Amino acid sequence: MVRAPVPERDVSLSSNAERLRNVFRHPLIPVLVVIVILLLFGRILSPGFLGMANIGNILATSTILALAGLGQTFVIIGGGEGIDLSVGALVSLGAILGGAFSNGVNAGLLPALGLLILLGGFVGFLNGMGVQWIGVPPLVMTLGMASVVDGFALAYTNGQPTGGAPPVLLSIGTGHLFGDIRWLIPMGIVIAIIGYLVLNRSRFGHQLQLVGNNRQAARLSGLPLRNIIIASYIIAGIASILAGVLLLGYAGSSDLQIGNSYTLLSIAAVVIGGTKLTGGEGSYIGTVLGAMALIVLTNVLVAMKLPEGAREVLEGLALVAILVAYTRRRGAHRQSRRPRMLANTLKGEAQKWKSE
Amino acid sequence: MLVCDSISKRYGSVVALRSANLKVQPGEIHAILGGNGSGKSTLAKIMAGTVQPDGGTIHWNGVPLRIMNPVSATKSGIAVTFQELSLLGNLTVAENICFPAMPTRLGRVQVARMRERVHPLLKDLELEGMEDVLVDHLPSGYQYLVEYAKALFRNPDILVLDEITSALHREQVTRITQSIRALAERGTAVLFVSHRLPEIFSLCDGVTVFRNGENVGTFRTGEVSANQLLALMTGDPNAVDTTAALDGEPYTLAPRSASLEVESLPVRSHKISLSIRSGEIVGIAGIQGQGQSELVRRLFGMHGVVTVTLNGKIVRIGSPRSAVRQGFAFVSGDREHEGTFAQHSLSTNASCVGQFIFHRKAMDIKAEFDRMHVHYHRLSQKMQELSGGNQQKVVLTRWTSVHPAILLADDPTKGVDVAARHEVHQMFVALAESGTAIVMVSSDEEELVALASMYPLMRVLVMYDGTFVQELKGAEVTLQSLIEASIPQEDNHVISQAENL
Repeated sequence: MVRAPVPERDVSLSSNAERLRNVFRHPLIPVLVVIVILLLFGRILSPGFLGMANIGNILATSTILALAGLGQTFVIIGGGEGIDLSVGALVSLGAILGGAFSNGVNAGLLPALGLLILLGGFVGFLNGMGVQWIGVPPLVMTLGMASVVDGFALAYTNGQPTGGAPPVLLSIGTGHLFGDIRWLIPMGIVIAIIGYLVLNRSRFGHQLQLVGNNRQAARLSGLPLRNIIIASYIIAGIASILAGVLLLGYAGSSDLQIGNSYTLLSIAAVVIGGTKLTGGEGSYIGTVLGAMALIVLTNVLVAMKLPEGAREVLEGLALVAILVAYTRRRGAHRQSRRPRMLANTLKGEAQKWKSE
Repeated sequence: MLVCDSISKRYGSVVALRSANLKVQPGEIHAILGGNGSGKSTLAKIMAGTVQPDGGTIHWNGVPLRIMNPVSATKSGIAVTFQELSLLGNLTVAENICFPAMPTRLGRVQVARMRERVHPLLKDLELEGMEDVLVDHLPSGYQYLVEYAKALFRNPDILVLDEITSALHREQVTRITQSIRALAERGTAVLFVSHRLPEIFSLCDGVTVFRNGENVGTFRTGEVSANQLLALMTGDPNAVDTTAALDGEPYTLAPRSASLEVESLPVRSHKISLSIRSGEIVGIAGIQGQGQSELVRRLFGMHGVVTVTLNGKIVRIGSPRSAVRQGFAFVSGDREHEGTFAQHSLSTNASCVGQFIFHRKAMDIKAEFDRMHVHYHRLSQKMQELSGGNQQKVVLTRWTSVHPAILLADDPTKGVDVAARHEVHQMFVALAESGTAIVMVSSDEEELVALASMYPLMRVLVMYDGTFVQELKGAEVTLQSLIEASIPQEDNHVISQAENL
């Protein structure tokens, strides 16, 4: 019943110094700093790190994570402890079924995409209904859904995914548009713009942010709370499964666990991007930058030329360190216990992921 | 003697306390008076150890107190009651009072001993027999009494009471003031943080006024007038105590376009019927927890489907959303949970209903804010930067901009300072004059009296145990009549229940 103290006075400072300070308080500053530091670190380790080829590679891989993080951003901004732990399972499913439905031929790709969008949307719809109609906590609902999706993939493929990426998809995933510019880069830019427009310029996005900031006030203002939340999960389902298709194009073929790390990575990208885990506040551009930061991190670790095992341990530790730094920073002036609680869950997930 | 010397506290760029000084003798009951945002609550939180000051010292009888956290505050002999309550809803009254030092043997809580220990306290506050009731199951007035008992249980040298009486009805206030007096006689220094001038004059020995985080004056209560205090509080030398002197403004009757008929609306175990005409303000009075809130919330579709007659048409309301679409509006006194979008801009806060429900494109929010006397800097500034009274005015703008047929308000001026409260009342009157029918629940009788004298077309329905026990109109609305009606005589109550069978 104790509420956190809230500053009581009106603010009346608008001097230049204050404005400058506000620039540095911009929520995107930390993620940019993280990216720059990691890039410089990578440059020290390997002279070719900042070359066009590598940067192009980093941007291209970020696209897949940024797409998986799109839905995660929406769900988390919607608040009410919203989180989607079925992202990874859906990415895997997208990769597996993308190959299976299209049979590895170009002509099969469009129908496969159509089917996958319906399927992803349906899974997201079930998540949303479970959370908003039945009242299952999002953590439980989406984690349960993740194992249902995993099981479905296993049953469908009998453990042996068939059909690789159709040639068109393969050239989108690995091919170059011109020079060092890979197809995935303009695609990533388009995804970032769409995500930004939906969240910050559309009616739906504005309402989602209000709902995330204060559920009860949104409900009492007559906003269609239930539909908005369900829509955010549907978007998450579709974005995740499409990220799986892109991943198939990038990797060429799929296995059952191909996308499973994306659950944690997508949440990490959202958090690093400055979106509050309590909802209501955040940006998709932040998530895109967060995805880049994570991919740069992976590349730095690769550049360190460590053995596979050691690299994964380091990656896990770095992720935990970043998340701790983030939640600490927030905890210091927010006095809200939930982000820290979730951060602990994430740390647990990170350990698990690291040990796999 | 308690001496607070130049205490300061900033939240980011917001200065909550500038350089606050305060002296209180042992055995003195000292009032801290100030508008919202004056820093009085911050001072209470610093005393409680939940907020760390940026600077300044606190001495008790010459000994410096180092209050690092709530535990060291308790050790220093300080007990604080919070306006937001510090109780755990799923523990019993006795457990809450003893918490965290519940008597145990081998790790097991000794319930009987605990009951024994809290019994005399509860007896003093006439809460006997409530030892084992879960706090969540108590009406909010009683919860404040338990909060008070909890502070008392620590035998404090310094007792800080933050708006302890704001949710209590008169009888409970009497009970608690007797207890405070007895405590002061035993040498406890009592800091009484309050908005309510009459209580301060009747209870306190001294009073300190805070404005903008500073002490702007300390007086003996016998040597200062209510208007002097009010002028200090607002910084406006012409401020008058609106609860005492009221101007009966002339009004013109708006065309009566809307009316609301409600029949057998289930509230508690009773069924309520209500008829409201356009341009009317209906106050709902009564002691706390008699179903007043439930009535307006039910009407707004928050507790399932209700059917009402609006302008002669039968309307089904299944959710707040459908209520809003039918022309209902709802303002809650619990701004933090039910009103504001703290992280969003003032313009979003003011325009969300118009934009998202009624698809209005352009709205002149600036003009609305000027009309409502909202004090702000930029429309893009975040809602959380405003003080409580201003926030409530912005929330009201959200509704006034769409001209609702019916405005339902649940204690809309709770925790709003005197000046802002008056402005909210003026907004209500203006809205009623433009044809809106207003139903306003209030736990503050003085507020209803003030509003009734501003707006002759006002009546007050007094609720008791889920039914209306009395209707008062125009000049009949006085403090006396409201209080009398709020606490019905035993047979009265029986009759009203019998009528409902």
